[in-house]
Amino acid sequence: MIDVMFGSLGALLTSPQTMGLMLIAVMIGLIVGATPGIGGRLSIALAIPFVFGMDMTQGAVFLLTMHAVNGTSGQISSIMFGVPGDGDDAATTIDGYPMAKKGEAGRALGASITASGVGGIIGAIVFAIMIPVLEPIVLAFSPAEFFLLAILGITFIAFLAGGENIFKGMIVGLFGMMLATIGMDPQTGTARFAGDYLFLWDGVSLVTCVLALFAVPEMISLAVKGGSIAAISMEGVNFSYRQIFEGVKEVPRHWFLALRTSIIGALIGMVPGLGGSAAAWLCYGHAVQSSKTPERFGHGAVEGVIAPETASNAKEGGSLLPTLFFGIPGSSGMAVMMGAFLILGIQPGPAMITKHLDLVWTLIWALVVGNLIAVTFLLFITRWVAVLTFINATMLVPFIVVLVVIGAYVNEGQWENLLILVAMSMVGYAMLRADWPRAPFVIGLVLGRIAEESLHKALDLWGLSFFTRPLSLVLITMIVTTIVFAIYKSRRPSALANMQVSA
Amino acid sequence: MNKALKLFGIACIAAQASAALADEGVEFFKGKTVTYIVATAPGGGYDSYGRLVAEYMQRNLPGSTFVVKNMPGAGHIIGANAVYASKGDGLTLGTFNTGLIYNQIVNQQGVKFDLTKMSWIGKAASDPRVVVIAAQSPIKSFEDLVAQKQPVNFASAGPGSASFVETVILTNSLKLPVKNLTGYNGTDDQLAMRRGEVVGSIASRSSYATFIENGYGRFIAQIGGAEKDVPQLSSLVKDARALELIALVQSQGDIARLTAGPPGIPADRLKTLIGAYKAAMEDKELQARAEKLERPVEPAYGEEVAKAVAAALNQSDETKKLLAEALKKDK
Amino acid sequence: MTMLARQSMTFFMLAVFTTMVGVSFTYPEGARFMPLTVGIPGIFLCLLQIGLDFRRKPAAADEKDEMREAEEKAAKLVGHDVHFGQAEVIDAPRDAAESLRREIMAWVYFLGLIGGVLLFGFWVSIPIFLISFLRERAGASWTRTLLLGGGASAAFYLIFTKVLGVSLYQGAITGLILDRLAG
Repeated sequence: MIDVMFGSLGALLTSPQTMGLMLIAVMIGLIVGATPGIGGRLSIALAIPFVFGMDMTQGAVFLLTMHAVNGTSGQISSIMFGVPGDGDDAATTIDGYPMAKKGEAGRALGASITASGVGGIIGAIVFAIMIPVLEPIVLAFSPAEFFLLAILGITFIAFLAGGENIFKGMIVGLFGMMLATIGMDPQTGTARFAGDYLFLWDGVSLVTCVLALFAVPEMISLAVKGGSIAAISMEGVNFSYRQIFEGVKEVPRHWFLALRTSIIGALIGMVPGLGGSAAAWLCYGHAVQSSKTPERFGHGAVEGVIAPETASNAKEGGSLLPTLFFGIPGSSGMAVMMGAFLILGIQPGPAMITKHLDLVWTLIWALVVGNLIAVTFLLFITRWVAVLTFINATMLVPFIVVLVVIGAYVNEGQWENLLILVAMSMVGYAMLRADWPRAPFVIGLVLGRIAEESLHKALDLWGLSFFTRPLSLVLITMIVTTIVFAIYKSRRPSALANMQVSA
Repeated sequence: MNKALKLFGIACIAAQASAALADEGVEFFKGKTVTYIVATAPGGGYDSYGRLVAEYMQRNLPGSTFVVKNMPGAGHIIGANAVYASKGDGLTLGTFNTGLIYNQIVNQQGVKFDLTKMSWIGKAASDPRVVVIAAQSPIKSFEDLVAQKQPVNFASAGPGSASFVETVILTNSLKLPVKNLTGYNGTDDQLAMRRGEVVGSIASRSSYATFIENGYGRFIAQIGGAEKDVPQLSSLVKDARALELIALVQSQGDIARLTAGPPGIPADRLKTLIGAYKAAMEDKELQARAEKLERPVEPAYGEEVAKAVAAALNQSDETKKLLAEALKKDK
Repeated sequence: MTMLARQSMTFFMLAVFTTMVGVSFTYPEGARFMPLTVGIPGIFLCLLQIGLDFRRKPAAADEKDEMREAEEKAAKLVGHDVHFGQAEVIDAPRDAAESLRREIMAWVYFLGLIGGVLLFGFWVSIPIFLISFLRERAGASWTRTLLLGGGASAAFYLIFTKVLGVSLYQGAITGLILDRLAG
């Protein structure tokens, strides 16, 4: 076993073609990932024709690296400009962008990039460890558990708002869930709130909503305020590698949180059916709820950047498991990857453990090495990129807005989404000015859909008795505990909060 | 008055033009861009196949550039609408799920196309339907399934989808002891089978190939297709109504991975496109790549496909009612 | 933000919930379930929030000034008044009227871009938007504007159309014109 493990690492590192392919994959993945609206699926779909003739291992490494790295670069625009690339990134934006506004873009980027790398690596490790116990774990999660997990995530909304804003937070969360009901319902196939508008049948586009709620209002606000994204001037801040390094050090400083969220992310990735942004948001919520000073979140708490980033990267490692060993993709991105694996001649299934263990380890190492390359490269260029937060924002705003509009369109290729962009931007801007929290909306939108689909299936399968399944009871206990905790915390504001000067 | 003369004049010229060079069609495509619409998001079966077809058609249509445009949404209806509504000049083609036949038969809201009027280029594969049963179930054959005393759970995709329709009409007409659970999209049904939540599913054979190879399930009946290892459902059933519906489902499976264009493509250009498609299908390289995509090429072209589609759409009123009911599942 | 403006948000949410709950009654039972489960508590919470908004004193509804808050907290710590120096903010609005003007103009630009894209497509609207914004709002020189605006437009075009191969919307009117030209 050990010799297979390190044998494949050796083979990987010593093959110039494979390493070369990995480098190219990292570059492409990073560039595509940095653009809002362009999903990872597109890059893989475009790469597939090239992969047809490739050697099995090299092709798999190429695609897997590209896919894994896709999720890593979206944080750059999230943190620097408040422009999330997709639902996952929105979680990073909540605390990342405020950090940039305080002139700490370098630190935020340092932390988030490192967190991504760490998350990806831990995800790969979890993947490796879980191989023997994969089956029982994946099979233990049924629609009943998905439903309860979604509810658990939704209860985190209560923490996110906190204090006097608790109702507003919940209202916004319910608003998100309300919008999640737009589209064909899973039970009767009625096109709710959509009528003849086909583009709404699959629901409102998450990317469009996220861009409209977060990116556009920030851009408009910048155009009004003037100045630069960072509210303080360049001279007062050391944006050289020092600041970035400070950010990097934040991850070991919060090592326990990073470890927990990576593992949670990997586990969520492992179980097909709870994919998408659920991992990032559940972990963000977890970070808020487990912090002694939750009121810092939303204003530039570095944990709010570390948690979602570790989670979404770890998720990719986790989702490789069911894909390779069951032939059942762990996420929509993995579904595309699986098609590619088949083309390459890789036959996913339990035989992978016995006959192709070396390939499995090669892929695990590819994830690790790819992440390391991506992280190193990003940390290096961050220094130049973070400067943009200090220049005159009005020079930046138009380009970012164009990118946002393109992103909203390209995501589904429907011009009607631009109308949604406008409508939701107005709502988002109003929320920004009225000081209402916006993060709960995304949680409600993402988890609301999962909750309804799962609830419907669970009821179909077991009727109301689905609450009594053992794993369900565990989750219900967690939900109740969370709610009780939330109420307790809101009654007793931490004494520390009164003393705290903006960190 | 002037307009009429003008039209007449144009008609004359057009008639002459099409009667002229047989290669007129090929000439037209030199330097032009053909948009190939794929009714799904990037990645996935339809997209991979669509890109394959587009690439090889481009090779066989000198001077042309094929661009793939993804238009996902509403279960392929958005993409199909787009193909139908595009200009009939031969510069737009597309691919979508054959299951849209069901949606058209029942005049589903949102459907803005008429498959009988589309210009048919061809179809690339067959994708027979199969009845799959999970490995751990005691049901070993179709007879076993029929003989079940208690209803067993089957999984299908969301209401309105082809998978859902087929499951409902087949289980109803065959009076199978099956409870249909919906909402299992993508590969959710496979996972549900592994978990033991559902016992089986009626799905396309290609989507279950890996599942079966891994020993997680077995096929107990098949509709259409050339494989001989599984009994044909039509041979196991006597009821005339049921056989009619089985034939409808079979026509679905026979016309898989289709390529079509909007109505009104001029005859010569259509001929050229079909020619390019045929050349693409016969290209050994494409065949090898399609093989890897788990769907070997089994092509049919132009008229043949158009006829099959028209036949599939021509159903008795009873069937139409049954389908309408199936698409409108109430609780 | 004035109290009225803050409350508008609550009223807006209330309106959304009420409308969607109302419409969902026209749907069959299975489809109705989720909207009701979400909407009814939503309505309830909105009413609670409206109540809270009314009770809060108008003075406290002033816009939070993080700087002032930080100063106050620091003052508490050290026991005497604290005042942080403000860095020069480039391009700050002169007064509230200018702020409002900018706000309106920003929306005009944004809506103009979207409208332009819908009617004339991306490749017409993007350069026009970039150039007019850079000139009018950012006050850039013609050279810079044309360089940046033109360069960015070209870059966007290259990346999206050529490299990624995604076709961006042509625009309704441009589409019609191109069709006419093609005959």
